[in-house]
Amino acid sequence: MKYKDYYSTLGVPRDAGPEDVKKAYRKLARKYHPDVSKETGAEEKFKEVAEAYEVLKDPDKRSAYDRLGYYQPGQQFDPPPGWETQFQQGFHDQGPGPGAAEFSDFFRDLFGGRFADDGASRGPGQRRSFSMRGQDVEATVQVTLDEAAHGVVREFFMRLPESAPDGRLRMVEKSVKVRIPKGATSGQKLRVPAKGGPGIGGGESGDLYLTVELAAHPFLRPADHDLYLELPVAPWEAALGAEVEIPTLSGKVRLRIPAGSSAGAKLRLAGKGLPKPQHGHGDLYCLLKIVTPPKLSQRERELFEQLNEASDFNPREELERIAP
Amino acid sequence: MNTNEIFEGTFIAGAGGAVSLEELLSATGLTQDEVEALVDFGVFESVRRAPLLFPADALVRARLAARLRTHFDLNASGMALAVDLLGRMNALEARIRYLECQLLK
Repeated sequence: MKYKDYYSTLGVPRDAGPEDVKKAYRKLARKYHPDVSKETGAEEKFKEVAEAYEVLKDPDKRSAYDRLGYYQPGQQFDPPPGWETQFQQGFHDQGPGPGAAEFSDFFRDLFGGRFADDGASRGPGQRRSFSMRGQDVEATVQVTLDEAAHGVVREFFMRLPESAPDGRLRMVEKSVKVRIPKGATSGQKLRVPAKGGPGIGGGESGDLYLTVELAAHPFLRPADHDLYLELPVAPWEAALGAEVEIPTLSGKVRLRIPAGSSAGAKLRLAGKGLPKPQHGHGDLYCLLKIVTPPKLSQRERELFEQLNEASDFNPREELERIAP
Repeated sequence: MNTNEIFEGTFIAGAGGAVSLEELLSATGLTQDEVEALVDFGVFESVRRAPLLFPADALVRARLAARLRTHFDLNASGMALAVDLLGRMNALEARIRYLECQLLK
């Protein structure tokens, strides 16, 4: 068995009182709770903190844990003789507690308990039968814009608790293939009923919840079901108008840039965004970015100089009027 | 358990679906009193009074409320406040992403 140091996880000394343990947990929960934290790896860190608190807040669990002795985190160790009887008898009637399915093997080995009814081996009133809804599983699924536009099938691999025939909780590998329907956008949530953890002792299965994350695209930026494309144009294309070819999710299309366009102008191509789940599509917006040649040829320079001399256009007229 | 069967994922929000009170309680671990308090606080609304039916996206808010309750020892008003503020934060972040899309690099 590999040791986990719950005290160092919460950052408290081994003789810390219940109030100090609670304070340390609250501070770390606020920092790492996945619903409020933006830190990388927050979810994993929070699971460790929640597991440590689950043990250290409960005087019986804490006392049993302390009796194991002290080892380095991750160190292989042999629990003291008779530990299994002490632990299992002490905790199996409670079930492992909410959220315990996400806790470590170390926790389950110590406090996992049994879930199935022992039947004949159990005397009257010795232990109630235990049933629990299976664990809900949350996962993030990253899809490309093309996959979001057309839908995609993804396989998810999970390690979930299941009650073995002897009533002990054991972890099993499970995989589920899920169709992500077309029309997904970033942050959208999907539910796959009954495809989370199996129910225990006759309880119903948990659900699988997926949060969609759109992978970065080389030139399209999604905003809900609309897409934005930064379209570079030459100064003369913006001034004179032009017809250019642009890439979209459904292939190349030709776009007319009106004469007299300025940088930042937004041109809309209706229905060329991402499809919506029910019906219809978002739009594709092209943002004009005027790009001058990084190095002018002799001829280009002459033509720009001629334009400079011939034009009486003052782009700062408005600024000069309000800030003389 | 591995299978080649493909299961359909269903968008929770905007799909027009609905969940019953029993389904909401089972999926969140909230009590009926807590759900009723969250409705009173306006965290989500019911689409039908008898029997109670909720829009599918109430599931997302109710699950968030339940997680916050478990991990931060929140009561119904605390859950309502936190869910509301986190919702506003998400909306503002979405607004920032939308505006960033319109900026030229």
